[in-house]
Amino acid sequence: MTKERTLIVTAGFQPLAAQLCASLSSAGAGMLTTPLSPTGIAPATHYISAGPIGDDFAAILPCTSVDAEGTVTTRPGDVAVVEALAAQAGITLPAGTIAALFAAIDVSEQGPWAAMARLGVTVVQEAL
Amino acid sequence: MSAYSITTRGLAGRKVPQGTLTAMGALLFGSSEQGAWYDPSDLSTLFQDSAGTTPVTAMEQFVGLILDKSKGLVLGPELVVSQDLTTWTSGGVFGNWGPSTATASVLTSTSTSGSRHVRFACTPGTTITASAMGSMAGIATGARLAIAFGTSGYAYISVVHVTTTSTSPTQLRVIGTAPSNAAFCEIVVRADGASGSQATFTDVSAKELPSNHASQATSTKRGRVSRRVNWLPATETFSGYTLNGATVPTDGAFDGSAILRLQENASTGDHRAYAIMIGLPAGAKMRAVVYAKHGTGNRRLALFETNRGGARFDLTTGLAFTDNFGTAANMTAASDGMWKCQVDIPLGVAQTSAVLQFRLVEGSSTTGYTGDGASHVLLSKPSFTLAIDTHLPYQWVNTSTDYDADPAKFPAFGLRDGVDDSISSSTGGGGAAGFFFSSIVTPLGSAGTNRTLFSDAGTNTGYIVRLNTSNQLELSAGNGTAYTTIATSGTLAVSATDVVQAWDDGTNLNVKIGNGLTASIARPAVAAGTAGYTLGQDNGASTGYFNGRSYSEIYRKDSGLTQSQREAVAVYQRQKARMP
Repeated sequence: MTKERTLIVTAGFQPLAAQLCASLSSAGAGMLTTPLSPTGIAPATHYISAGPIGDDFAAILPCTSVDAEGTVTTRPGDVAVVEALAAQAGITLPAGTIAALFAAIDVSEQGPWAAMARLGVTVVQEAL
Repeated sequence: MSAYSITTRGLAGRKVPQGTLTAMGALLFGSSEQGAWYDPSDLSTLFQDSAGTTPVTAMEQFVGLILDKSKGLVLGPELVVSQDLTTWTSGGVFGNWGPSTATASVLTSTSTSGSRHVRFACTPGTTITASAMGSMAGIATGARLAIAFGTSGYAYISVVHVTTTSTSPTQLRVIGTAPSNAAFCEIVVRADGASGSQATFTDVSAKELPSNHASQATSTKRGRVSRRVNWLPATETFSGYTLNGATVPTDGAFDGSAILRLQENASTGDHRAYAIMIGLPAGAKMRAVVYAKHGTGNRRLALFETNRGGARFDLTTGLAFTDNFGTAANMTAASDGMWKCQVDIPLGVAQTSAVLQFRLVEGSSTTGYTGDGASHVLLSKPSFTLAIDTHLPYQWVNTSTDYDADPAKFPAFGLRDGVDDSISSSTGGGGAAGFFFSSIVTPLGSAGTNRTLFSDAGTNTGYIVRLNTSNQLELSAGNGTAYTTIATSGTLAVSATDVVQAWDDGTNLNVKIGNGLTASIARPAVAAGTAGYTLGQDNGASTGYFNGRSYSEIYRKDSGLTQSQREAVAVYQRQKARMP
């Protein structure tokens, strides 16, 4: 089973986040490659993925919800579990890295366009 | 209607050569021509994962693999020459899968996860479909069927697999395409678990499934298949709506749908129910419709979007009054004393959400009032659709995944989010002698950006079809040094639907939207692009994502087709989208 999520991560944490997504699921390889910026012009300040992810994957990530009145609430992610999974995948991280990653990533139940609007970023366009 | 059963009925006046409107496959691919034909309305061609293990069974599921129908989905000869597992090679080296013993159909692992395999040569790009009836027994944790590809010896490069944990025979199926450096393919059966685990496999089969099937391995990059046109969160109840000063119980039925009683309470203020919808195409023209009649009292019904307005409907006189940006409000008498009330509401240029209100009003006033606790209006069959979908019948909605998806009423389409959705084929690209691509699409956003529909571009090579920043259809072909580009003079705006065709006829590059003019430019000496191609995204780059619906995609390599063929494709695709 899957859950629909939009993940937006700051550019500095994109390599680590993409590596972790790939290590947690074969269907996670290739995530977080679409560049975002406040103006739609490079350089990218963030990267996005939007769509279905596994229930187990969704359960350990933080999750931001926005209700009808626009109130934003965020459930924290499971730092310890992700640290353990990273270690199991052979990814060695300094202490506190996952907590910092969770602070730098926005995982929400919103659709991608609503999440981008909330964070003030849009898709970077490249010419032919 | 199956795409294989297109007839000429009703097409006599459309200047389409009647003799060519046979099955699309025979028309375009009958002589083994290369290309692709993707049909999201044919669920038998859709799978939720890229390995083809989980079929798409319902609307709103995500699509990881779409089979190409251009070769008719005809399977090749059987590649598993013996069903007797004792004749298979013990072990499956991929991932250090362990050895096993076997009877004719029962596999017993002699170490962790025992397996057996058969191997045959394959060429890159070959798609293999493998199937078996599988079950596990005893201490096993699963029965697995896999397709593994390798280069030589025991050098493996990829594997796709499917596992059952059932102890009863279960149909297993998996589809894999040989990577560009593959030289052999193995069909592998495996008993998952510790030594002594057992699994039974019968009817093991592997056959080539030729064509250019398109897949997406990354789950978040998969688009979905949909028939949803009514954006309201629910129609048979007002579940998910916000109520102010009113209740909305069900109160009978009308024309097969529930009647909802919008009843004011005795409070002072608004008496309404409203729904919030997000992800709408900015600037879209929407149509709001509801059937309504008086219950108790003589309140008018207002139907409007909070920021853009709508209309008020006098359910006594049948007169409608527009408010703010609402247009074309009208009332039509229907059965059972109902009025069909409708109004067109254009969204703002940057507006991607809407708040649609069903509101009781007093006389000509639109402000709140003190309710009497009894007055009510009966509502049924509410809808809020894009103007382009108003020719379709009413669509009931219970939830985002439970709605009227009757294929006889609503066209199916692939839906890409404009952020990261795309699908690609590792084969079929690289044409240089000609080109044809046709799709019927509805852009739903990302206006002012380039949105790629097809690309096998390398570095200044291959072909690119896209909607450009001015909403024009654009075809580019590279000669290895630069691209030559032609764009239509006309445009395809967000929330409009039309056929888009781009072709290289060996002399010119050409583009056309619907019945608009064809724009042409002399073709360059095209340098072949990549071996495969991408739909909905720039080839090999994380840009150019298409945002919207695609009802059908047809591609021919190395040919621009004849005019009659192109017109036949356009007619076929209009039918797929149920264009009026």
